[in-house]
Amino acid sequence: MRVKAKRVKEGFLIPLIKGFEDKEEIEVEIELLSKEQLDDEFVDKHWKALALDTVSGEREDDEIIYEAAWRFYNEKHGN
Amino acid sequence: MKNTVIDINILLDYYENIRREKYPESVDVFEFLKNKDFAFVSVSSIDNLEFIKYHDLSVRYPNLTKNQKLKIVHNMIKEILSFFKIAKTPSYIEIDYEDIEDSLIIHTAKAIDGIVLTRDNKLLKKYPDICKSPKDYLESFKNKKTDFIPMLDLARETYYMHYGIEKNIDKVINKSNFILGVEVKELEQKIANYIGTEYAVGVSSGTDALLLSLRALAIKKKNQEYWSRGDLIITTPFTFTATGDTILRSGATPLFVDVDIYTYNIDVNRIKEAIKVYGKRVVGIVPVHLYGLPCNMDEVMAIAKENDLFVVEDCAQAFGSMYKGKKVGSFGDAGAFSFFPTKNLGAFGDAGAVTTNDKELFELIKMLRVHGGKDKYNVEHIGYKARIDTIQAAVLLEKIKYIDEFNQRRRKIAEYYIRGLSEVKDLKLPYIPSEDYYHTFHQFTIFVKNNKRDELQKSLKENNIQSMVYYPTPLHKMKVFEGRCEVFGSLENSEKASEGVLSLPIEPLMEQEELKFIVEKIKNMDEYIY
Repeated sequence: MRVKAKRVKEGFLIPLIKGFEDKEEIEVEIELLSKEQLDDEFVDKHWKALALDTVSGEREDDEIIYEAAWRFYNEKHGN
Repeated sequence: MKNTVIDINILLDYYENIRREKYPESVDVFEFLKNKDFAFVSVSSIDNLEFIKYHDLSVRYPNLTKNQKLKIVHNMIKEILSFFKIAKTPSYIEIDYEDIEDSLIIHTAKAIDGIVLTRDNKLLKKYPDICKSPKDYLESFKNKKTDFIPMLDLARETYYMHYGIEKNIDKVINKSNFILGVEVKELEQKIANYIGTEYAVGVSSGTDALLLSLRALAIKKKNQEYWSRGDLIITTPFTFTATGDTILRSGATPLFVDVDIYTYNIDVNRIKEAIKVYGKRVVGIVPVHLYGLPCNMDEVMAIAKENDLFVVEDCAQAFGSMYKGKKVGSFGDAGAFSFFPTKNLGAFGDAGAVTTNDKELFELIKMLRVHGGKDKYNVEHIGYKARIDTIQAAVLLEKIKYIDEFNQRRRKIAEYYIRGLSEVKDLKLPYIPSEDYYHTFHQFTIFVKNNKRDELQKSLKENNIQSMVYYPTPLHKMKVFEGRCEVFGSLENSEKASEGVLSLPIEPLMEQEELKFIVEKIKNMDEYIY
């Protein structure tokens, strides 16, 4: 469906919208997903787009690394 | 090309759009290094990649499950490892406790004589000799002066196939089966299958492969430990000394017969003439498949059959070479192969093999390589300590997987040389008699006319290009063969060859720029040398 899009950071807009340039608002064709649609099949298909869309570049590498280690080991090895 | 270990920040830059915009050099260098055989990821970086990207996904997509995030991260890592090889962190590192993570990657790079490619300014400042930024790295390729071009780059070849080699060596160390371990039998089977013979015996060198073959034939044919001095074995004088000295060590006398001036292999017509003169004194022929070009085996075998002579093929430079679609080493009574490190199939030290279809010879050679008996405390023959080491067999088991690919690369390089140098006057390029001869170019050897060989070699050296003379002295002119050989007629072709041949670099993994550089330098020299 055709919608107007403003610059946002939350949500499930896939693929990554590149058309903004210096504009705050543009018109795009999108597919809206529900939370349920962000399923394993979707992740398998679009893993790269999801990976590319992270935002760590806004912070310094060192800042991230210690926080990352703490979070990961707690989540991965926790219940 | 220096081995390059890519730091984690470059990898993360490639897999995030914001970082790609912020650090475009990271993207450029990642693309440049994709699938290059000198690009690595340190094993110590892999779990860091996992938890950092997992964290980034957690921040960006709070509703993704743990398993979904792991799936994305693991797909990313698998993709990275499809582009680059893993380099291990060695056990002998000195850990820098101020930054353990950094010291791991630095030592990984040092262990493979490489550099670290990183955006980390701390690392770049602390280790300026071993770290490079993406920008400087790419600049260094643009402004690259050609490094020294060796005949062969064994380190580069080793790292091309290092996974399997490392794995195989670790197995041998863990089992400590250093003498005639299972790897030896496995290698022998693989060699026999590849060459097309019933049997193969792993020995300690190509020289010992020749010697044990000749000794075994003396035992089989004459029921003697050694040949007699009156027994003549025909061979070429234009070869490595081992061809001739093993004949001497087997008890016989080498009868040197001249080579064909085009192929540098033994002239089969001269063999026929020599036999007319020397008659029954001649007991065998050792043809050498020089530089990787097979001899005319139809003629050699016909002569041998007609005169009841044995044939031991000297295949030291010809693993994979073929005559009429059949591998050399499968024609004669035995084939002697060398796996000296610089050979087309080379070990990490001395090694060799004998191939044969003759069960008796096979059993004899197996005995001769272990002091001469089936039972080491009750031996039958005068033997040697001539086993192939298990660890060399382990290395060769991996390297043999690449032999056809590498031989094909050599042939492509030879094609390039031939195309590029065909117009240079006073150069004679390698001659291949027909499509019956599958040359594997262990050496790419040109002939420089008008006594200009040494000048050309000097000029190449000044341009950082290695070249070698194989061989500067034919065997009949060596002191060791004085009074110990027979010479049939003139050996003019061998002598002429030794005065003019020059072998050029032929490394299977060499870059096209290096080849282009060599060809240009030789073409440029055309003007002032000739």
